[in-house]
Amino acid sequence: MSNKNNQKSFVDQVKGKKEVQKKSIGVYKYLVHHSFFEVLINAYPEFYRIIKEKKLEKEFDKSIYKFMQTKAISPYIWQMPNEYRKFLKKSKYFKKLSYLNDLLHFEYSELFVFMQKSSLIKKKKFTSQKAYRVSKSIILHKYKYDVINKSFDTQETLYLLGYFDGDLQEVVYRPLNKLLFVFLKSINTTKNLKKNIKLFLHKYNLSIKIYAKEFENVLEELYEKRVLY
Amino acid sequence: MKHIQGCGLGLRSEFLDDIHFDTNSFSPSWWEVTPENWIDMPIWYREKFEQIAQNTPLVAHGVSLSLGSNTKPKKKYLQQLKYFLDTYNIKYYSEHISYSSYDGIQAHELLPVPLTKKMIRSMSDNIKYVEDFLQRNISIENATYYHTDPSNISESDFINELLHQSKAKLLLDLNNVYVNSINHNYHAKKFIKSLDLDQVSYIHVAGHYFDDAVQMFIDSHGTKVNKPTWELLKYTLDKIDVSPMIERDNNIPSLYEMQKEYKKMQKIYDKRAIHE
Repeated sequence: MSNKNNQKSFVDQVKGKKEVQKKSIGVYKYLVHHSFFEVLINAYPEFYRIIKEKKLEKEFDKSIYKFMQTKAISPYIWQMPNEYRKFLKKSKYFKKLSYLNDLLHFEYSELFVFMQKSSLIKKKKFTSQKAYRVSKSIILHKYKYDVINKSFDTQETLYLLGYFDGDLQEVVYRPLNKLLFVFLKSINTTKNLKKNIKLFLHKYNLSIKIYAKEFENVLEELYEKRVLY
Repeated sequence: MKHIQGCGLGLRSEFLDDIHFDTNSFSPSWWEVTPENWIDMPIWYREKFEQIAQNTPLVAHGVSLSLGSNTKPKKKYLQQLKYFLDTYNIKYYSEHISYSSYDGIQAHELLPVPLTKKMIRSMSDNIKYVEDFLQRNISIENATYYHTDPSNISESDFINELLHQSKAKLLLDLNNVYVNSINHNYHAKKFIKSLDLDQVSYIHVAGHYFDDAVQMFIDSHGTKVNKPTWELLKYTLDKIDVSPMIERDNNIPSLYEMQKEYKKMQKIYDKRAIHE
């Protein structure tokens, strides 16, 4: 057998695509599965708790093997849980858990925010006369379920902001109202903040007199937390 | 590696808070870093990492290049790797005699390469490709293996021929030698003696355990260095003058605990025969 065929056959056995032919190959099947399993349950503790509670361990195992065979691409292990989430979203596994993608997205968001690379350099004083951007190192996401309270019986829209709080040295989550969420999602970086607020309030028929200052105050706070830069 | 003196230690993010730079603080002679753990470093680690890089020499040891794979290492990753090595002035880079991905899909585990002449040529080509890209002479580590297909080429002949063809250096992992010698029933010291020791760049020591489920010794890097591995270090340092380092990748203890093991290694290193 050529190197290529030899290695392909070995990898297929290790990743559960073919039946293991030798005990020694089974050792690798065990080791590879174990390392994927450990990374995934550490990244997704609530997901794993549900898997155990609902006795879905076999389905979980099958999904890990299928994932290992097809979609584990990144050399960076910390990115593996997100690759698995994307894989599950398009797969046949756990279809009864309608909230699954929300839950995994939320659990992974903590790791994603922690791994941020944006600068910690102290910024200049906030002014609404300047244009700002929303940082790429935060999570700004609309969930169909209340993932914060792990309430999955009924759908309840949650607009959530997650960022790393430098003072607390931890990832902080903050539910937003729909208006602020839509504003942050649609912020126009070529216009200053004052203009952005004015156009936004006008679009939604809201009083500039009542809401503009309130918006500015919240945005200043988010600027201090480096959600805006 | 001749200019790197003394003993090394694997740098883990768990140690960062305990690393200080005053004269009374502990620091190994050099740190070994796994680029896959630091290339994507969050901002919260960067400041300390940069301080460490300024104060102590760094040596890089990769785990995902997959030199024994059927495809060439990915350019995108090599670019990230080269940028990392250049940024932190890391001259020495090593990888494994194994593969960890196949057809571009990761296994996140070091898989055993077939011991064939074809594999020597293929790995050699991959090593040269990586060296050209990184503009560095690299070292390759003898890996543990729990399975091997029948071959006319012995492991040591395979390694020696690979070193000869690729002109790479050897990162000699003594824990891997010991684990393989027990699992595959051969004599560890004879194996070491059969290697081209002139090509050794530095030495790894680490811990292992016996796994009841698979009934084999597993190279876990998750325990203290075992006595037989310390013995092999003494044996090897009597033959060659190279730097050793301790790898610890799982069950990470405090830096204080690692310091105790480091001192043990330092003692062995200090007692070594000095070779001309």
